Order: sequence, then C-alpha cells, then structure tokens
Amino acid sequence: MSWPLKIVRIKGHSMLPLIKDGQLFFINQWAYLLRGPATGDVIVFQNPANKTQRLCKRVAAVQGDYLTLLGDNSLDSLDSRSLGQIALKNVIGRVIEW
Amino acid sequence: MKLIETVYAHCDIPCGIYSDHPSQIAADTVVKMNEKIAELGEPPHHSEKEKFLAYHNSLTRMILVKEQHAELCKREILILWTDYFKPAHLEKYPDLHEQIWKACKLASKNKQEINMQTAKELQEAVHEIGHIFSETKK
Repeated sequence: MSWPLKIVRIKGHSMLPLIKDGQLFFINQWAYLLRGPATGDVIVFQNPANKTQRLCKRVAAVQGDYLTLLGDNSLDSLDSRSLGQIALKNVIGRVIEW
Repeated sequence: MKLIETVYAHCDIPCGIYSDHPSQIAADTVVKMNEKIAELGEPPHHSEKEKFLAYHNSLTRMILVKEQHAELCKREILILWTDYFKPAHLEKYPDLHEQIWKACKLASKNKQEINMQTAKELQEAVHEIGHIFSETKK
C-alpha cells in the first residue's frame, strides 16, 4: 500500500480559481479507504483512456460505482462531459485543499 | 518513484475521447426514477404529518434526479452530435440528425412529465444513437 500523503504538481487551467497552473498540493491516497468520494471533493484519478496519465477534477455527482467529474472552470475543462463517468476504481486520492 | 508527480487539470481541448455511456446511464436513471415514483405509496389521508413530509421529501428528490438526468442525457447526446459525429457518419446514417432531434425532444418531455412510456422511449432512442456510435468506432 502506498503512503497516505503524496505531493503533486497540478498543471492546467480547468480547476481555476482553486488551483492555479503548476501549483503544488498534497493528496491523501487513503481518503477513500473507509468511505467513497462525496460530491464536492477534489480528487486525483487515472485517465481511463490513458492509464499513465493522472487527472484532477471535482466530484459533481456520485452514482453507484461511478462519478461525474467536472472542472471548476467549466468553460475550459476536459471532464465527464467528454470523458464520461469515471469508475471508482480509477480514483487515486483526494486533494487536500487549503 | 518521483517525489513530485504531475497531475493534469486539462482544458477542453479536442482530445477525441467520446462515449455513449453517459447518455445511456442518464436515460436508465430517468426510467429508474419513474419506476421508483410509481412505487412510492402516498400515505393514507389521516396519516401523521411526519409520514406526509417523508413522502413529499422522497417524491421531490426523485423528481429532481429525474430532471437532472434528463438534462444530462440531452447534454451528452448533444456533445456527440456537435463534437463527435462527422459528415461521413451522416452519409452512412442519414437519419442521424432526426434521431438526435427526437432523443433531445424526448429528454425534454421526460422533464415535463412523469411517464414510464416516455422514459422508455428516451432509453430506446439513446440506445439507437449508442448503436450508431459503436458502429462508427469499428
């Protein structure tokens, strides 16, 4: 099992104004050991179309084992509107906001 | 293992990643909500206030989810229509515009009504578009 905390650099503009391009954040990789993601959580997940790529978005809806994920900057975001719903198994951790 | 890993908060660039699944799941949810609303028993006339509140709370939530997913269904269909389907697809499936139009109209009708028949028509229309989408991927 991986360590709970990991440092990530988040690139891109789709999570503005919360996350600016290149900003560093901690993610909690144990956040969902006991419970699943909730609406409003900012998470890091594996891109189902490209397993080597990790993406960051906010949970807009939880439907069973699937999440609808949207960028806060909805006018400029590649998210569930194009990617479709994301399976829970692709979730890596929750971004710790400050 | 890198100390700092890069994660992407991607912008809406044309990535070529499309799926018919979100519209199908949304249409399935509309059917399910109609089913649950039909099963929801209204409390007898002289029931306690709490029972009425619980009933209205459940009914309101189910209608809200039906409304949201009918809207989501329409949006997902429109993404395929505007961003994915190309003129070559239309040549092969000349009814595509008509089918998209019909499915979007049905999504709107499902917002207006509580009607299992309309919900199943939406599910079928979305399924047909999904079938065309899958065929174009072969």
